[in-house]
Amino acid sequence: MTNKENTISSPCISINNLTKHFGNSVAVKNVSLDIYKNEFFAILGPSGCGKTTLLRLIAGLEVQETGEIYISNRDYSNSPPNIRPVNMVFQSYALFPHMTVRKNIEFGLKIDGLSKQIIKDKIIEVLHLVKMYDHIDKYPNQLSGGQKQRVALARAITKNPDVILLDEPLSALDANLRREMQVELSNLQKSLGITFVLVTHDQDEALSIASRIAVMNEGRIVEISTPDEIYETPNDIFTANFIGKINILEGNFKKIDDVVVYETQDFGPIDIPNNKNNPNSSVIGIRPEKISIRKNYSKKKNDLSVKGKIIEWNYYGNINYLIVKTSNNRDLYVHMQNKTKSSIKDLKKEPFIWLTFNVKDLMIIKKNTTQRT
Amino acid sequence: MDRWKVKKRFFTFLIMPGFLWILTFFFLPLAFVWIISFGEKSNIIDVIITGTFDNYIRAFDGIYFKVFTQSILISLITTLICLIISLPIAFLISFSSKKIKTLLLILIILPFWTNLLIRTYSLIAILRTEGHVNKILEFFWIKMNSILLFLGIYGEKIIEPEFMPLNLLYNNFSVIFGLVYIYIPFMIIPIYVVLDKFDKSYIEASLDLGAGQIKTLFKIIIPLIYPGIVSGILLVFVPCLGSFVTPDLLGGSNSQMIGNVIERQFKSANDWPFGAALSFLLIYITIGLILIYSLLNKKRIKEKI
Amino acid sequence: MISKKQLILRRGPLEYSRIKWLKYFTVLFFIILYAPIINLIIFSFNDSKLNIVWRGFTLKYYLKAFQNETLILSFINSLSIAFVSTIISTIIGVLAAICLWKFNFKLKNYYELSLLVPIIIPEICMGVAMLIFFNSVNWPTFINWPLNLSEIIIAHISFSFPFVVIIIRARLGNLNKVLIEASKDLGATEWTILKYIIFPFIKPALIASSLLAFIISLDDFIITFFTSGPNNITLPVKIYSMVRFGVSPEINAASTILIMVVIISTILIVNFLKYENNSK
Repeated sequence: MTNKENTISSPCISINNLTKHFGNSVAVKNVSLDIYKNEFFAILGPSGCGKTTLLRLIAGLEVQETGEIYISNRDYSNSPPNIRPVNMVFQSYALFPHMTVRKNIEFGLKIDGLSKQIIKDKIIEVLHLVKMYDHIDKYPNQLSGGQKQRVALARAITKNPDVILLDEPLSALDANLRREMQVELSNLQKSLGITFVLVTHDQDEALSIASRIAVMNEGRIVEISTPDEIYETPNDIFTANFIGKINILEGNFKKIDDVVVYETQDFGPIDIPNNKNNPNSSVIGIRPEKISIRKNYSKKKNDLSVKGKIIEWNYYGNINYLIVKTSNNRDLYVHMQNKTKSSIKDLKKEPFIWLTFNVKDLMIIKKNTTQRT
Repeated sequence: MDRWKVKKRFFTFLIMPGFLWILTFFFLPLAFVWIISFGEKSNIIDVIITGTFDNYIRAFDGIYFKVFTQSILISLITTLICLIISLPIAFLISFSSKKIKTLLLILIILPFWTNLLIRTYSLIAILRTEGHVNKILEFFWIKMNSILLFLGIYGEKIIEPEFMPLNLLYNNFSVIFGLVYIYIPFMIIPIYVVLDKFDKSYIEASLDLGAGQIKTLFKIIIPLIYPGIVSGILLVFVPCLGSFVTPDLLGGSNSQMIGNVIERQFKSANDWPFGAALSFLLIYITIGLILIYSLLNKKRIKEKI
Repeated sequence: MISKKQLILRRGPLEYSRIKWLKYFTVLFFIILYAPIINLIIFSFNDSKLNIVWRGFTLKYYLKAFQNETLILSFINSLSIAFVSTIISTIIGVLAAICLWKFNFKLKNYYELSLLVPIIIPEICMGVAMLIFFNSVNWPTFINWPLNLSEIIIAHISFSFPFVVIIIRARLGNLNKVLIEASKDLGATEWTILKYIIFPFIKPALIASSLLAFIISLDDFIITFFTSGPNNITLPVKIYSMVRFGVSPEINAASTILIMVVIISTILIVNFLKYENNSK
């Protein structure tokens, strides 16, 4: 059920029970979600989870089997793509190769029936915005990947749609350029005030630029939250594992004298503070970067320690990714920052080390994948 | 790529057969044609090369010129009809599922495997006055008449109008129909090839930006599959121009094409120089078209870079 | 579970193959394309000399065709020409294709273009050229098979081998040059590479282009018409002379036989290729 009536501002995009199959497999399964105005909304998920299909359904390039799509409070469920007030930035940019940059941008404006002068002004304005004015008379095959991307963006922006859809726009760019463009996209969205919906499989991208993230898996929405909530307090094991990494501590919730305790193999019973959820449907996990490696056992009050041996060490420059086998034969992921050069050298020499974390850093996560709105 | 001087013997072995063959058994014969076109008949069997241009001049004279223009006109019309029919068909095939695509492609190529003569001949049975088309029309005519009679349209006169069979054979209509029938695979295949490689996301982008299907077709799709269309046009127009079997079997006395005239020079009229000149004029036209095509191509490539 | 009814959904914007009128148009197109030929085949069994109305099923015109000596002779001629022309075209074509793929030389562009000219110019021009050529050089008129077919065979080869070149070259374009470099590194000579790497690789294209050359030769009418005379008639030319006398089921029978030969050889070759592919 959507609570359109209850929100202060009604959603820019409202999707109800959308389903789409391709042949025998389901791409989008009963998806409902609301996207509000001015959001930078990200749809994040692994390859094949249906996120691109969902985006294309919003654009009208695919036809759904069931469900409705409302954009700016109007029903566009059965409308063809050319009358929907959305514009898409394609993964391959799809710049018309037989037209110059100018003509590419002019294409959409001409259809709107604007006067020649206004079109001219708009083209200049938008190209300055994406810093591509100098290339106005070039053809797409004369542009680099990043430049093509800006033109594709400009082409979509200039029509002033209600929503701009971006289909993995940065996936073809190299790492540095990608970071640069992420910042630019974020700034651009804020200054334009248009709702952006971005599809990506890159969690760093989603976390850094989105105002809200929807995690998708196998055609379903797993959960929707803000970046920090989705990272710090995920509501699903899939989310916890997909965004960042998580060590799940196997165990059971038990009630001992009115206190709910989590019984684990490695750490014994753990008193979980603030346990609100139904105990039996949840597990406990800890993020790898919240675990620290020490030579000794920690004696602090809320700390838990376990002995272990480093079995894998991956050096990534500023951070180390390790796998540690505990004395109970469990593998735990640990991410350790390179604070000092000596720290690595010292630890490498030790035959065994102690893993320590604070109980407050433990996360309570639901076991099953369910759809959340 | 290797440079040939490095492996002279191997290179020679590879290139000689093809090179010698095409020189001796293609370009040399063409040279002979060219030479003879400047000759004259001296008696029934001999030809003397006099260096005269008379044969070429005769080609632009009176009836021959009329035949030339008629041939060009017929070929143009045929090409246009082929284009109009082929575009939708190529579209449907290229946007079909893989299985259907393969099936349809085989169905299009299969008639292509059939002999030109047989294909033309098979049309006779269909188009003639007692042929199938007329038979079907007659059937509908009779049915319609009985309905009208039943409804009393004819009033008191109970004389049914007679069925006049359509004169579909032995005229320009049948020649054009036959040529379209024979050459249409040559138009469909190049267009299909280009359409198949065409990046469908351009269509999606165009629709997304607000263009309707028709605007997308003319402003985005056709400009980008243009090379395929031009190939198709060349592949139909040139052979059409030189055809003689189809006008011979299906055409009437006033549907002559250049091909028929040329054939006559060698089989009955025995005026080889004139036939040679006409043939060479055809070759010049062909080469001219190809030059225009490659010039246009170069221009397009220059524009993009 | 989605019920079957719900699955028939609105046509997507790019699903052009679902447009109704387009589907009807295509069906109509194929009916018109095949009707004349199917009609020809059906009426080859018609028991009526005038062959206008269907009178009954009979095989007698096929019998008549098989008893027609000149018809059988022309059929044998066609097949012999096709075989010889195919073999020689394929050999010349393969060598030329490998040469163009491997080597760069001055005037290479002109050579490539010149190989295409035979198939670009109208067939009638080529037929005329061959006729004039053989006449001018006083090509000897052989009376005995198979040399009496020499003129036709030569003309067919000139016309077919460019197709072989195109097909083999396209296939060679997919051959990774790294393989060649690796084998050279291991000490192979050009001949070894030719035998053990190039030939196996182009085998499917070789077979396909041979089939194409065979069918082109078998089906050819225009060029053969000009280069043949009374002592070396091929099947299409014979059929033409029969047509001049008027429509008769015997022509249909002869035509059907020719069509069947082409279709059967295509099916055989395609299956052979599939078998080759699967056995790898």
